[in-house]
Amino acid sequence: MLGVVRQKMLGQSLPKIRPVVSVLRSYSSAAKQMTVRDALNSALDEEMSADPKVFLMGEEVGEYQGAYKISKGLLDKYGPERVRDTPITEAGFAGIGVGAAYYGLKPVVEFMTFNFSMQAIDHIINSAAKSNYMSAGQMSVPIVFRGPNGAAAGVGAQHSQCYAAWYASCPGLKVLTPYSSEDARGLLKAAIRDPDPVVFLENELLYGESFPVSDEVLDSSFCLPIGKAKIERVGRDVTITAFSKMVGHALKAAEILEKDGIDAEVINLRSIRPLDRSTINASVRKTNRLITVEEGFPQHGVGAEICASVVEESFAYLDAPVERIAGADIPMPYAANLERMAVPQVEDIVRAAKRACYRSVPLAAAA
Amino acid sequence: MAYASHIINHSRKLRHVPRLMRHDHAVLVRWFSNGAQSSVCKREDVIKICPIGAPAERETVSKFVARTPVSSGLSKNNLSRTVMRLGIPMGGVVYNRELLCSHSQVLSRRGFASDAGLPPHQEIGMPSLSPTMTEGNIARWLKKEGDKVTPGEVLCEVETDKATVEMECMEEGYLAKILKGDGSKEIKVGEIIAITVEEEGDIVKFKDYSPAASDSGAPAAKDLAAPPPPPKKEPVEQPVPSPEPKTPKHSSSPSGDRIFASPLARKLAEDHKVPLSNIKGTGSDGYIVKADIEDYLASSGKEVSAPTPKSKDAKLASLDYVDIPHSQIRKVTASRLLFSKQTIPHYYLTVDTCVDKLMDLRSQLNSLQEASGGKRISVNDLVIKAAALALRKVPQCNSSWTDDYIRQYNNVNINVAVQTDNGLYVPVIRDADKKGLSSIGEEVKKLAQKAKENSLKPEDYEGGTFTVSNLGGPFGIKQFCAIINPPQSGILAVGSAEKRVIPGSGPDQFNFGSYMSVTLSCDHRVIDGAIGAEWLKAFKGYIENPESMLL
Repeated sequence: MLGVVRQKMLGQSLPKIRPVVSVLRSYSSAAKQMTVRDALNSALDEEMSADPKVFLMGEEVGEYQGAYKISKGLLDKYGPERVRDTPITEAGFAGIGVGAAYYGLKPVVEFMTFNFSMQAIDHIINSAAKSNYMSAGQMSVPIVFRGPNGAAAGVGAQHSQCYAAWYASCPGLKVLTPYSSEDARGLLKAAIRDPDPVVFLENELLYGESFPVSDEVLDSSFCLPIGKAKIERVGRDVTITAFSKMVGHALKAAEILEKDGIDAEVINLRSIRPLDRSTINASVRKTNRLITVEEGFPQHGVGAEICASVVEESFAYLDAPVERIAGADIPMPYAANLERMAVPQVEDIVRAAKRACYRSVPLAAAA
Repeated sequence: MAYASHIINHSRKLRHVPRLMRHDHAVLVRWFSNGAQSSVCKREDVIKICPIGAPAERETVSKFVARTPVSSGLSKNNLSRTVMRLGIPMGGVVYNRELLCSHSQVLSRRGFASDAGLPPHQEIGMPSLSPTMTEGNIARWLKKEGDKVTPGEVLCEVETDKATVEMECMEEGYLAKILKGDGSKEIKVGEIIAITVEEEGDIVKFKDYSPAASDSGAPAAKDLAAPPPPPKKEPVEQPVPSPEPKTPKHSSSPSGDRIFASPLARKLAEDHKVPLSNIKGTGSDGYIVKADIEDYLASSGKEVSAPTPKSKDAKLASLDYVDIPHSQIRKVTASRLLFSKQTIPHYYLTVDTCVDKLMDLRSQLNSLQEASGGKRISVNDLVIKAAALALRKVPQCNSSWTDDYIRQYNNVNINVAVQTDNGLYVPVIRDADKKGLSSIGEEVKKLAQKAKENSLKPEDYEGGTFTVSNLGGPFGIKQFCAIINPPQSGILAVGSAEKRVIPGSGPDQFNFGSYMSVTLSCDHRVIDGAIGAEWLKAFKGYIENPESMLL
């Protein structure tokens, strides 16, 4: 069927150089805009061209050009040996990926959403994450598990869970959550180059969003360090930590708060494991107030870990209780109005910030 | 579906229910949603049997679990019915109690009967129609006692101060008794308003039902009628220091209470040796925050260095001034008096009182006091006594205004205005009408001394019902109008006595007399003009004829 056609194509042409990146480079305007989708695509492209051991594997990544078109053009460029369509069996292809990584290849395994990674979680945790420890460092597993995480729009309870907290609690894994195109490019490159298993949590709703990128970001050797958060907006009054889509909400909330006289500092975590505790604590020591924002379930979430870290290290600097904003403690509703209420909105962040900064007018004591 | 199979599995295990109850309590508890409360069965003497698999599950798996009624009167029968359906022999009363104890945790939110002899029924509580609603009225019942009700049918109209809402029935059954009829007012949320039963035959049994016994069902029943709360997006609002049960005190009185201050504020206070008990918290829930400590430091720092800022003022060439920051007492005085003037409708009544006799009496008493070693009695003490007795005669002036009623106090506690370097204090003389002049005098002196030392405690100035303010004598004021101290309704302003010439008996004759002007400021909501005048008449009577104070 399709496989036959593919064979023919291989015979005929060498991988065509799809000018995905170069098209962008030809624009000479100062602030280039790049969608997250293109950022991921370009990062994959560059890493695959730089290192022949890197290969991509997942459902619909090849012929279909990627379920979300992230791997557009890669099959044509690199051929079916390096861009492998898999059957619908996450446990199967994740296991194959880990096995390939044991051998020394560098697989990038795509899950159509991270909800499906639950089917393969045994391979992610037991086969990949723990192997380095269990083999006394002899086995390295340079694998990247990537895909969209968290709530999309109207995909229901079984397709909307955020797995950041789950994976971030596992020693042996690295968990990255990019927000902007710069994050996506830099962190994916870092993840592919990393010798340890990396869980790369993207966000479906961010794929189409454009962000300005500098020339440095577009350079093929651009890479972001894993384990460093970015302070997206510097502030004085309250620290808001967020990751992935929530960074956008936090920034909007900060703009609203500015009008009310509250200067918020927004931290884009970028890396959930390892968590950049020093940046967060330094920020809280400066502002004395903390709000954590995440899309996932509240209990045992990322915010809980951040709160604990701050209480452990910067207790004496806290001027207000730490506020956690998280998704509702229920499986995601399907109805659009309920879904909206189950996910943190900008107003929730604004309200929490005002609560943290609350001061009442001094009242007279009863005489 | 999983629920059903679990129940069946569970029923097989029920042979060993006693053991199960002790060990697998957690499993059963899991079935019930977070709102389950143990409110219904509290009394030791009532034996209740929870149907195996408990009431809440009835809603979901009614086919599998026997809808066993819960009541003590029919206990044995019910049990056997349950037993037969599930095919498990069970013991007697003792066993039931065990069940009761372990199940009490998970009993349904519905108000099952706690009274002996009543058939199973649901108690319908006043629903909460909004997060802020605390009570409501029943406008009218759309269903009568004995009517059949089905889910979705409107039972009654509930009124809050905002809107009238129709309350729908949740369960199928018959309306057995209406406890709060048409027009019932001020029913608290959760209070039982009606009873429904499933069997029509049970309705008659509720003819004389009184809700007194099953009040414990009310809080449970409330959850039933209230709409499910919207999912909370911010579950933890105040995690570490202030959960709901421990309500932190807002009042500034630090007496032995836990002081709520943020960690940063505590550290700052410790570094700068600031006593936290002096500071009023302005954070949410009354927390002391960093800014409060900073304000305190700024104010106390500035008070010490008040003379020095002159150098800074040189910047502003036009005006030369010094900024005196507000002390706590200044802030309190300012806000209270502003509030008083803004909210109390003041009016002023003035009389001149002839104080010749009063002065004579005073000198007589003082010579006695000197002889016996007591303290001297001042004019003010006599004024206080006269005012107290006048208040006993005209108790309308010894009252407070509230929106719902006028509170007339039986005790006459008089606040006396004392001016000190720190500010104006008004310590209270309790039961001034019952005290003798010497004890009044002594108390005033003692309290004035305490005020000067800034060591007045709240019990020294709280609880007053009337105030006397004296700017006569050393202050030299002829007459003035004082501002009422809320929540009191009157204040007496005393001026200085001066010798006047008054017409005598004959046409060209004149006499001398000492006259003291007093002005009574009244709250017109409480004291009408005539009443105020009556009081002043009484007061004047006591002052001009001080021997009448002995009566």
